[in-house]
Amino acid sequence: MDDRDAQARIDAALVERAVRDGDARVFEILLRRHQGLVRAQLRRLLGNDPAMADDLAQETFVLAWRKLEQFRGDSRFGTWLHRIAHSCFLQYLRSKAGQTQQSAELDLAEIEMTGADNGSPALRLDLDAALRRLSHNQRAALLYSQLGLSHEEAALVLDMPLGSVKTHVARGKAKLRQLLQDWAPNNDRRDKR
Amino acid sequence: MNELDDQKLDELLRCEFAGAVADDGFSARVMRILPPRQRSQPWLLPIAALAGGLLTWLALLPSPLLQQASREWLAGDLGTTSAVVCAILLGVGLLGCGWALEEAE
Repeated sequence: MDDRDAQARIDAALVERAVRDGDARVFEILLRRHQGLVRAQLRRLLGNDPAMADDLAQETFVLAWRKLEQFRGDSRFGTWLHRIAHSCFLQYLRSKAGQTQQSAELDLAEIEMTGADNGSPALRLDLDAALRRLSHNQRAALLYSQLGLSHEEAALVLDMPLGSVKTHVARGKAKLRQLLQDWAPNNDRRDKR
Repeated sequence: MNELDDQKLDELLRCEFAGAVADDGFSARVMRILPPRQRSQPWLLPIAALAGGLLTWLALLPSPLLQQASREWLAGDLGTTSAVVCAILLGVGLLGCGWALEEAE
C-alpha cells in the first residue's frame, strides 16, 4: 500500500467520524490536511489573485462541510475537494463573465512567480505566455496533472471522460512544445536571445 | 525543428507550480465561519406528512364534505366525495413532505 492510499484511508476514516459525530474538530483536521493544495489549485486557476482564491477556498470548505455525508469514498477525499473547488471556480467565472467578457479566457494559468527556481526568467515568461494560449480545458488538465492527480482523478474533477482529459493533456503539451521551441536544446534561435 | 522533450517540459511545468500554500491562519478563519452542522432527521418526513394530513382532517371536520365521505366509506360505496377528500389529504401530506425535504436541504 503506497503513501497515497494510506492518506486516503486516513481521510476516509476522518470523514466517517466527522459525519457520524458532527464533530467540527475532526473536520478541522481534514481542513488542515488539504487547505494547502486546494488553495494552490485555486491560486493557479485564478492567476495572481490570492485573495479571491482564498475566498473561493473558504467557500469550498464550507460546502464540503455541508455536503460531507455525500462523500461516498468512490474517490480520494482530496479529489472530491478539488472537484468542489473547480465547481466554485467555474461558478465564479460565470458570475464574472457578465461583467467582463474576457474572464473565461482569463488568466487561467497566469502563473504566480513565487515558485521554485525555474531557470531563466525569460523562459518563465514565455511559458506563462504559452500557457495562456492553451484552451481552458488544456490548461486545467495540465494543472491537475501537476497537482499529482491521475488522469482518472482529473477526469472526475473536470467532469469529463477520461479520454478527453488524456487528449487535452497531450494536445496541451504538444502546443507548449511548439510554442516553446525556441528554448529547445541546440536551437540557434535560443542562442540569439 | 527542435522541440522541448517531454521530460524537460514536465520539469518546467512542475517548477511553475508553487506547491501547497502555507496555512497562515486560513484554517482558523474557515473554522470561525463554519455553520453548525444540521444532522439528518429521518423522522421529519413521516411526521410532516402525518401532521399535514391531520391538520387537513381537522380543517375539513365541520364541512359537509367529510361527513359525506364518511357516509360513503361506511356504506362501502366510495364515490367522488371520498376521492376528493383523499386527494386533499394526499396533497397536503405531500406539501408537508416537500417542506420537510426543503428543511433537510
